Amino acid sequence: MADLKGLDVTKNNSLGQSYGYNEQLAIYNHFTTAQGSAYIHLKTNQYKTYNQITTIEGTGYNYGTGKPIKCRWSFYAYNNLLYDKGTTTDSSSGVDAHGMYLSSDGYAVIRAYASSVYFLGLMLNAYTSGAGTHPFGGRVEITAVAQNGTSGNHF
Amino acid sequence: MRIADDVRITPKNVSDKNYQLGKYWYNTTTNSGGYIHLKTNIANKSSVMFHIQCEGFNYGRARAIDSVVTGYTYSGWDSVLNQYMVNYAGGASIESTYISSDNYVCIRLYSSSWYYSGFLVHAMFPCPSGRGHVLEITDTNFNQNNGSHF
Repeated sequence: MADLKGLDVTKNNSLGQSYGYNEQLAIYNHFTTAQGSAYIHLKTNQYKTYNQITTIEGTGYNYGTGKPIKCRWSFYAYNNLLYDKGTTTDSSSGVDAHGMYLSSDGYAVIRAYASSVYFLGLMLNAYTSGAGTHPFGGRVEITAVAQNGTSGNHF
Repeated sequence: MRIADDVRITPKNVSDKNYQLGKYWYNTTTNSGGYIHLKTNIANKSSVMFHIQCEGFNYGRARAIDSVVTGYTYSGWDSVLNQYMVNYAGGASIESTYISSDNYVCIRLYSSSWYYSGFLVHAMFPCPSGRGHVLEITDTNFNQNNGSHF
């Protein structure tokens, strides 16, 4: 048995590309006993010029809605913008990938929504690929979290 | 490269080892369909909120296996509360949970063919209740019983 603090998977690329942490499991676990619906804003360390293509996966269990969680956010932080923003939410997911935006200080923020967050347990994984001159697979971190009724920007 | 029998991951912002990979491997060459019963070490009424995933390949059906069951062993309830089963890939479906005669949560999977199938069992305890649980699969059985086996 291996006990790990997060699990970052890397593979040196035989084509000569720089390697990185392309699969990162359990980068963050958000859990709450609050009642009612809420938006969850999760601020990342992906700066607007970071030049990395990132997918963040939400999984886990939302007891309040009685459903497993399966949703994703994908974006490309480049040239002071978030390009190619995409979200997917499985039809049976207990949490929606509601949206994403740049914070006022220039970092990517993903936004989740649930009609009930009662005893919610959201686990985040991340998958990365490189672009341009940025090394492939830099670590994705969640640097701040807010849970509130704001459907737009919080950070 | 690091090799491990199974992996317990502590998410980077907490101290619970609540993300567990490779807790069990089930494989079969049987040339028939039927029900696979997995008995867990999650006790009835133990207040554990769980997410259990079966992930693998069903060669006989030429489909990936990616099935999840979530639920809560509420202390005031005689079965799994707020349970939900979802089959994302078509290779096998978790049909139901039930409580064994000695009071543990069991999972029943079904496929119309299990010919050369194999899957891993992963677990997650991400909610406020039951975060310290370590999943074990304590017994398995393959049969044609679409009810309770254990």
